[in-house]
Amino acid sequence: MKYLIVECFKSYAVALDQEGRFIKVANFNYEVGQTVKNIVAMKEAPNTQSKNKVISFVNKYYRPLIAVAAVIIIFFSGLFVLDNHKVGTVYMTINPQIEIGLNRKDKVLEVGAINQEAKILLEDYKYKNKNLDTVLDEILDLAEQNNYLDEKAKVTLKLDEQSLEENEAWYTATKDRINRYINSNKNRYYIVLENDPIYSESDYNTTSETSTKPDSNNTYQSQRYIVPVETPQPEVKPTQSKTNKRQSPVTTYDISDYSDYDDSDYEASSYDDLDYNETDYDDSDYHGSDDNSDYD
Amino acid sequence: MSHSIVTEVNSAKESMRNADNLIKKYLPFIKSQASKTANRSIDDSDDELSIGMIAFHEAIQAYQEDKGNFLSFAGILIKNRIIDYYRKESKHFGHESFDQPDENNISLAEKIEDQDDQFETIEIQEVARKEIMELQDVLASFDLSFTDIAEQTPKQDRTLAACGKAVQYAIDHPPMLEEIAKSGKLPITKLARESKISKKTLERHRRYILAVMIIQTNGFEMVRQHVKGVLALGKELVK
Repeated sequence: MKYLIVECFKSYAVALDQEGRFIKVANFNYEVGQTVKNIVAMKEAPNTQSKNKVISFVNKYYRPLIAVAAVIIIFFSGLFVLDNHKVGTVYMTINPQIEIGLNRKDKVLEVGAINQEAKILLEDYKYKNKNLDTVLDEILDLAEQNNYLDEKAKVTLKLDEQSLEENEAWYTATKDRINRYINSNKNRYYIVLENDPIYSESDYNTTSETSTKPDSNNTYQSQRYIVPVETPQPEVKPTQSKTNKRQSPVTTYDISDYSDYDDSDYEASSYDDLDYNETDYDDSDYHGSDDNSDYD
Repeated sequence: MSHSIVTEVNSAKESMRNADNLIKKYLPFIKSQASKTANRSIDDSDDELSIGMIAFHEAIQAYQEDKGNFLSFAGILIKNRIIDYYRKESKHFGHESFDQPDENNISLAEKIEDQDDQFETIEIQEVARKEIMELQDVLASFDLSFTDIAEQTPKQDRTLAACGKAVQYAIDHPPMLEEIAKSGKLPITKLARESKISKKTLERHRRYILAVMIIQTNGFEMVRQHVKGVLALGKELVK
């Protein structure tokens, strides 16, 4: 490469190379107009100079700040990941069957439709950034509006059992939360949490019936509710039903048992003596009446 | 003392003229540093001094006040640059030094100069010198100096080609060239829009582009030979 010297100073010279670049070079006693072959170019970095200044300034004064900011970002991104991690699912059965995915704070991450009705029900439903209570409220409202839920219909909730093994604290907390929700809404809806043995015992049969026949129409369904269940009052008012149902088997049994026994006993008054002599009879009779369901 | 040199260095960063003056002032220091590295006394005609001076320029540009004493920094840079130079020369010529005399007591530098130093080259050099002086005057009327132009010369080939494209565009559009000649300024926004080169590139290399336009359009034959390459690169970019 040939260079044309175009400007000379004591400490440096400016040369023009054959590609059209003007370069500052070491001045080996050059003269203007001279053509030279070997030059020593000045290494210059005016742009990086200012950049370095900025970087050194940043280093000096903002390094701790940047470090703190980085930690905060990492922390929050960690939280973000945690918040988007599904911990468990609540299954909801009205007639539409719905699954609600929850994170550790009971924020709703997904709402899925299990059957066709649910798909229609949830078509335009937005669950983002809502917690479980709100979503339950809103879905129940929606179901009501779409005639899936009249006052007699029952709603079943079920927490997936898998989360009990994986995260017991969450499971119990969420169960409590759902129970609280059920209690606070007991005047409006008849809701049963299937996992909870207190509420589910006697109702299990009727719920399974409805959930296995999702396509039957609503009026028929609500009638069906009334027909097979002998005591209609509990269906109308959920609170009463729960207390009554729990007590009913015990109380009814007691009354019928004693009255029946008494009557028959009194009728056969002539046998009294013989009867009382044989103490065995008394015992067996008592036991028998205990075991036999015929008395009901 | 140390404070005054920092102020001087800072003002030298701003312009090469100031830097040149500062170097004249510190020439004894540069000489002593070069002598230490070369292990012999250095006078004004030695390459080591030239290298030392350019290293001092680099030191001025790279110096950061908070990183320590300027002169010790400059001293290290001078030493390193001279060592680099020795290494490079020994690779090219198989000799320790350019000026080391051989058996006949003639240095390598003298031999090479002898080959080029013909009657003809002196004549060419004289023509070139006149042309460059003339060009320098024209550039001065645009408030440009070769040093300024050197500072704005693109280093990357791609940028150089972009600048060539911009120059070519102006040459192909005489109205724009007239406008430039009249105002003495590069219409950056217009040029960027029409030649489709980024405004940032044009701004950063404004002086260089302007200089190449002047060289191309005012018949500076010898200098133009050197600048031709830029336009060729620019044309390639257009294709």
